[in-house]
Amino acid sequence: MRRIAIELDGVTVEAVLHDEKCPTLCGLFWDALPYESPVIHEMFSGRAFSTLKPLPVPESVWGRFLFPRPGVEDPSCKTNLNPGDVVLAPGGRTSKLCLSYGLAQFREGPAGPSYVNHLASVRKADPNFGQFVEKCAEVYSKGRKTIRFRKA
Amino acid sequence: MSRKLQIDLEGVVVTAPLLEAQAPKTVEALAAASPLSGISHHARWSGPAFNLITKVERLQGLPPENVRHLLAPGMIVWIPQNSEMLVAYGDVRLCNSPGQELFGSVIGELAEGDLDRLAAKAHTLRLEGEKPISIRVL
Repeated sequence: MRRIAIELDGVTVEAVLHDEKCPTLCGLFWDALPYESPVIHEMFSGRAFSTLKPLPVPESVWGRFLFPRPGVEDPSCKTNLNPGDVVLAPGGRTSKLCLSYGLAQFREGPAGPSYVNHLASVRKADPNFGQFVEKCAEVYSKGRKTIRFRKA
Repeated sequence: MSRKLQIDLEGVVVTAPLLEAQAPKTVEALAAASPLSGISHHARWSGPAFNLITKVERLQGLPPENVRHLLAPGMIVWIPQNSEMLVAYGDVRLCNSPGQELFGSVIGELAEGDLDRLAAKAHTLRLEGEKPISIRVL
């Protein structure tokens, strides 16, 4: 089981990659590490924020997954997010990683929820989990921060 | 002369005519409670909008008037359920969480030029976080 470290504003937690759900996209994500990007809060999805720098995923890879929607490899049809979920929203050059820290449902607009790829989950047992959630909430109250992902 | 609502979001000041005929009780209560100030946050569920949550007693328990769930850019609503004033700067669908839709009383609408100036400032709420806001009925 592959693990990654996620750092936000000086607080680091460990997450487990869900290779069993999205083997291709988790592999691409793993190969792209270390990866960092500014994040800003979502405005349709609840307690969640997203990266501004797209994760590079070739169009040829997106094109392999057509169900439940183009670019979604995860067969669980995930749209409701748990705290600590790291998901990848497809979209070619606009693809983004989204991380939830509370009640969240991924939405790209007012029309309703969208399916995403569940790449990883932060370990709830991580001793820094509570502090990490507090830092995540600051993206809402204090604005943009930088998030960093690396292999653990 | 009809009343107007002045909104000051961190130095960007705009005014919008208040819809007294369509939302008389809400406008009256807002005028009585004016001026109000606090901290504005960007919406987390509803889309391109920002708010002012206030617990002023005069504004509690108001009946819904001129009710909308989907807002056009520039609409200003009072959401009794949240005790919240919300200003839409894009297409908005009022909700609190998945499955919990909200309705607001439309009390005003911004003109295009004012909307553009306010929208530019509203964008910075996501980039820079919460900002001071004050509103006043003129």
